[in-house]
Amino acid sequence: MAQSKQNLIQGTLAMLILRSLARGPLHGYEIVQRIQQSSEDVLKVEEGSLYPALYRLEGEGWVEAEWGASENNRRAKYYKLTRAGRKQLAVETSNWERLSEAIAKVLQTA
Amino acid sequence: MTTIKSVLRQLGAPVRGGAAGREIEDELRYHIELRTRDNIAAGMSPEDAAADAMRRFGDFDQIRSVCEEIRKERLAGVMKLTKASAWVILGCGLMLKMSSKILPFQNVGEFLILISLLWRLLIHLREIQTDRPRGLGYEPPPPSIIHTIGDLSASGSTEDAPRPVPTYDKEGRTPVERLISDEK
Repeated sequence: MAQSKQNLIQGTLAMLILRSLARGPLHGYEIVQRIQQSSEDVLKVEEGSLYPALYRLEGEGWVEAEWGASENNRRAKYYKLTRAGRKQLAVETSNWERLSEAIAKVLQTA
Repeated sequence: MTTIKSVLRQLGAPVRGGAAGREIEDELRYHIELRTRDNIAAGMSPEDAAADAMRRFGDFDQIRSVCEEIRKERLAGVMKLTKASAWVILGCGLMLKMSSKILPFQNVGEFLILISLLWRLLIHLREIQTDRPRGLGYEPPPPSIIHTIGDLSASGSTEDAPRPVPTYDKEGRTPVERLISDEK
């Protein structure tokens, strides 16, 4: 059976980016791969949409970017979580858990 | 410390505005190159690999211009903050100067200058605060990058997914309005 891939619910991409960066700096392509691998290929990220989200997160001060050398010795822009970003990730994760619990309750009872 | 570094980097952005634009393009192109390379490694022909990478990426020009727009907005915010800080420094300097002379203000002119500086500072701070809401998921993204969830076709594309189309009757009522008036 073909496994259908799910696009992300609006607003969750930023949370997933923050979570992906929690383990260490990554460049854009690595972030996409991390999200897809962690979700066992269920979540599908429209790859280009990652960058506006990253720039917004940078504007909020939740991530910061620095150019560095990639594994194949090319110049790549690496993003890393700031202290404010780590706090925001905790807030967003807790919000998400409450929301998904609430939805699960509705699905069980309705 | 990192925040200070980030602000300083952003302050330098107007000087290297063109370079920053090129950096965005380099970053996006690098992503497509990596996807193409992985596609080739997975057995695709170079042409197919590049086409697939472009398709997965989306509208390159639009994404680049959205990124540039976000960068400009951020820069404008930093400039406002810098201006506000300059007013604070000026205001504090003036207050110090006046307090070193005599208290309360003897010179009406100096007092008026101080009030106007503080007034401008308040305006700047208000502009900064009302720039945009904070938090994830509440900013409307550009149309091309709106994510939806729903029944997708086997290919995973949203293009074939049914989209709601409002239907109006002869009286110009929406289905919900029709339902309500029918129930009455």
